[in-house]
Amino acid sequence: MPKILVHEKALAHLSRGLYRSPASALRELVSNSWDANATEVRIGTNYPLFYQLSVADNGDGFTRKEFEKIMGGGIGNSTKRSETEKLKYGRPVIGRLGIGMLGIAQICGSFIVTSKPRKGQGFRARVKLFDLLREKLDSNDELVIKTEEVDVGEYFWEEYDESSVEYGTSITSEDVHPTFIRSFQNSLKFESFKEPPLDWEKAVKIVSGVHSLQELGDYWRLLWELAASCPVPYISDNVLPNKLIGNINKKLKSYHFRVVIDGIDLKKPVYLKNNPGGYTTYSIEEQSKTIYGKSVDFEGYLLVQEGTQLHPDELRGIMIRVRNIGIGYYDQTMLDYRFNEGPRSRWLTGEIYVNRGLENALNIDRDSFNRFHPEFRYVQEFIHEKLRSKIFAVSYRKIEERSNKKKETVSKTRSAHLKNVISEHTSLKVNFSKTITRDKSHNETKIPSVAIRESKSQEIIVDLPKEDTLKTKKSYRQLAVAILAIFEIALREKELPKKREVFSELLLKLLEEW
Amino acid sequence: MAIDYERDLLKHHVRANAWLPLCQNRLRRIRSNDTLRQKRRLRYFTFCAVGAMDVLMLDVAKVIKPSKAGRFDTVVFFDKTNELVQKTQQRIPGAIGFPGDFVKVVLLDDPDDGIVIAGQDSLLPQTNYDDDHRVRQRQILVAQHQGFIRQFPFDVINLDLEEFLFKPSETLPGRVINAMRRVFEWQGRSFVAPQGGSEQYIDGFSLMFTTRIGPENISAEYLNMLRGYVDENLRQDTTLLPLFQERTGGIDNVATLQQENFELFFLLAMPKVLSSVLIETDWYIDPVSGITIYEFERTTPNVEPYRMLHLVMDVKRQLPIRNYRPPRAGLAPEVQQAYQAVVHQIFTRGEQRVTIENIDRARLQAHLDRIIEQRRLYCPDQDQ
Repeated sequence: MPKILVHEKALAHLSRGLYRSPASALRELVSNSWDANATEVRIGTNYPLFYQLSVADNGDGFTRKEFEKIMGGGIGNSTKRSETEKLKYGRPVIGRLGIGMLGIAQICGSFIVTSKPRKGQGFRARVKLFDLLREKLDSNDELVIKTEEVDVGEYFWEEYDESSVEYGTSITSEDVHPTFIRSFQNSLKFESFKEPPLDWEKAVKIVSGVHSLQELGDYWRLLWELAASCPVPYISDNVLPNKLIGNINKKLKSYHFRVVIDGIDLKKPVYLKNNPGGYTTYSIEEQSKTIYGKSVDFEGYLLVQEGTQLHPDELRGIMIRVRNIGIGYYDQTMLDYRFNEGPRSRWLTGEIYVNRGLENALNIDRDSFNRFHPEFRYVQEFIHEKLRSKIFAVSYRKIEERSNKKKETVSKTRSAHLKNVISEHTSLKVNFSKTITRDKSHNETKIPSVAIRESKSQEIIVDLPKEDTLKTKKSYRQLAVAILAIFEIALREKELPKKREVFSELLLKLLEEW
Repeated sequence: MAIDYERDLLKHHVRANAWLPLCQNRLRRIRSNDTLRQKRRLRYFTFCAVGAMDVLMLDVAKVIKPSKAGRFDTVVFFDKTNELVQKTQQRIPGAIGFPGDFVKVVLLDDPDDGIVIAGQDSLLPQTNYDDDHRVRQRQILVAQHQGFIRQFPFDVINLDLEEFLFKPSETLPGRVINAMRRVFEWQGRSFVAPQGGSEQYIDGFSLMFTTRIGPENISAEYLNMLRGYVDENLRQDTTLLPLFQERTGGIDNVATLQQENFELFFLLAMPKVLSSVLIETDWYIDPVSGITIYEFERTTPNVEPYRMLHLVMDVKRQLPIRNYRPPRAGLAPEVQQAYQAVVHQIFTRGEQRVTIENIDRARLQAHLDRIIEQRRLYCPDQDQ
């Protein structure tokens, strides 16, 4: 039976065009460090010049032989670590495509890899990737297209002095692309750019003050996206209301994993507290279901910041993390949620930690999902149901309550204002009566009217009609009643010109603070 | 075995006793010119190496202060490789680090590969070339050159070269001297303090310069140049000859000194090179403090011992600045007098020889420990 084969050129293309942003490429290297039991990953961008990028960890490292194997055809073919394998500190294995190291190729044309493993021979190698690879692939250039494999570059061993190298692996770019440098350098000149503080908590406050990360530029976006997608803890257990991430954060802290970029110790860029309208939250306790014989386990939270748009925009939506690594960023479609929730959808954020499953639903860039994968569908339906029943329904009720409360307050204020206007004119204390009297002459046509009585105790009683008896827009009714009231006051004058004068005067006073 | 520059007590003696007071004085001068509203931080250029000991020493002494965001963004440094720059930036977060060959970036020679990157923004995609490694490298080199110029001026320049100033393979006056010419020219640029305000110019800066004595196979061209400086001094000012003889133990001509005591010859002649480069680029050495020279021997296993020279000086701007002087105006009298004073001082004031016996080891060690402690604040795992 004839076989269906995929040409190696496909893999070669992937080595140059897999990730959609620098943060995504770096995130893959961070995942490698996590799986290598590193407790710290240090990323350097050469801020504010951006002439180089480097990632160094203090993990297990890998040997010269392992490197040879990866470079000699193992890219994209790395032995995936077992999902049940446990790493240091009980970390789950992230696993990878095996192309992570070459992910940096989207940013630079050559780089140096140094690794000192705890067991075995370390090495230092300079990797040079071919220029214009895509063009060469498309033209079937014999330099790169061979019978069985595709050369995407070459590497050279460099002098390796074990005594001067720390345990772990480091990758340092040599040839960062000028477009990357230019873009990052220029973003520091944006009007809204602020120097990122080394204290991440302060940095998160700056980010919360802008509508979009784009206002702050590419460097801030890189920081934020890495912080959002890497398996680092939150700033504290209390960054979200109702202890939403308390348990999750304990787990993250127990993994002992730090990502430090240009001296900034990254934490998740989430800090939502003290919103005047409060929050509607739903904590997703660990869910588990078997789909086609495979377990899908997840937990997380959904949160609506009542009445206030989330800042930055990039925090809106739902972030899915598979084994703690963010897949893409916050999905503003809320996993293709099909209801229009109006402005409320701009108040929603949430994170789903998928502890098992969903890996087969990942697209090759690990930045997105196959939306028709049964495991993804299960998570999606669960979340949509909770959004509908536990989040937006509650949020809608709260909006109504807030709206009613607001209306009541406005109504009371206006009523008091009307009293003041009449009282100032008559020099009498004013009381509104709920007893409805009707002008007998108009009774037949049922036109609501106002009656005014003076009591013995130097008091004026104004009988107002029920607002719903007025046949006009709801929003005009209170004003209509008030105008009728001042009209009646004006009618108390004897002369017509005086009536006109008083009415105009009272009307203008009334409208002054309506 | 590599030299442990950062824990070397002889070198640290120079840091603590020459560099630190010089920088403290410079900061005082800046502050005395500042209005309160415009208080600005010291702008420092260095070849600090990974350990960044000089920067951290100035940080401990509060001569260099990080920004409100915690970044050493008034510190600019060069190192040879990306890896070294990245490691240094871990130790002094926020410092501006240029990876590459300092002299090559400064001089930006015409390319011999025919790649000509034109325009103000060299990082823009090129229309005439493919997106290949050589083109990208050229683009970046041009960008580094332009970017480095934008960092000027500095209040303190620490040219801690740790190598020979005159290389036999180079033609006169040598690439380092030419690089220094450009650097001092760029010191005349205006700048705006990070907190804003109007454009400012510096009226002086402090210069620390380090070089090895030698080399032994220094070319005749260089020797002629160095001899020429001292001969000219002796010719122009007859009062110098007795001083010269006293300093050299009775030798009465420069050629003999060069043959019999090359080290002293180098010590007397080399500072004139610096002084002359400064004068031709619109600066001059402040005669009040003059040039102070520290010398020590560097010994390492399996390597022939060699002698290091550390020169420290304050530099003043010639006034009116060149742009306001007519062509061929010649040197202002105070600049000429300053030059003479500095020459006198070089002939009379001997170098300070730093040996393990004449330094306060305990105090220096404690100071070093304090600096390393400070570094742990920024880079806790530095010693791993």
